[in-house]
Amino acid sequence: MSFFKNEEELGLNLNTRTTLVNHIVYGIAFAMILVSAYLIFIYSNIEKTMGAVQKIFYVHVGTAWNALLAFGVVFVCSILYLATKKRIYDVYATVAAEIGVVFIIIVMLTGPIWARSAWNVWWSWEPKLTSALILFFIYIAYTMIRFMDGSWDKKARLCAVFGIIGFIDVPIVYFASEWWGSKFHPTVVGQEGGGLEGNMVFALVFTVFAFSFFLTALIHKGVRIEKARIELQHMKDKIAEKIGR
Amino acid sequence: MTFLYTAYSITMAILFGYIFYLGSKQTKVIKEIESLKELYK
Repeated sequence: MSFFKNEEELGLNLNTRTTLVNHIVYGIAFAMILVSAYLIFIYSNIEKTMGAVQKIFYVHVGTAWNALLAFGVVFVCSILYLATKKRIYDVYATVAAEIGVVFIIIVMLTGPIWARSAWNVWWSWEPKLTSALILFFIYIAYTMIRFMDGSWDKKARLCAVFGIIGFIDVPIVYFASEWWGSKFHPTVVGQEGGGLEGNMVFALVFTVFAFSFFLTALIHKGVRIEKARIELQHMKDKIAEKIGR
Repeated sequence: MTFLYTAYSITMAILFGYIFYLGSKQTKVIKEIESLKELYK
């Protein structure tokens, strides 16, 4: 029995239960996180100047990269939503923004811990850190819009515009060190880099991929839950309509 | 090492905490849907 007619129109799949695919995706994500822990704590070399505390770098960069990736998903889905008006893109943007906020919270917590132990400061108002803090507030505000009163399509339109404008800060965060220099974020990977040994680069790349896989798994699960929540709302509306008649 | 363990523990606590939050949200929604379906069979 289906409570609403327009489920095809919404592009929704009403199968809300956790499937075998979900379990496999989560299993791989957990396995990758375990392997990355081995690479971080045991496999990779200890950096000579900072010592073991430099290993925070792997988690910090891995989560930062994936926060930016999640906000990229919000940006693309926001454009697609405004272009097509299909709710499924709004669902993806909602979920990706929420997960992006979770990742950026980790970045904002691990960064100061690393800075305190390596440079004896918790925070510095340098461009990269300041723009990252602004990014954090932008997406906190984005998430708060979702809890506002009003119809979903109005909120979706507002969030899509916010998601597109807010994304301007992402390349600023990414290139801030290159453009304005940074005491705490030197270039270590790439042509100008050279501060990382081979096994450190491998541990970093693997950790970034592990978190990316984790991000994908979380988005997949989050979208299914959001679809289920929309279905529930439709059912409630339908019932209220029947009772009211 | 204490700083490293603290940072790693915070990361994992937030990630796994978020998974538990998603799981409880899913369970709540599914239970509500099923009870409504049962009620209006």
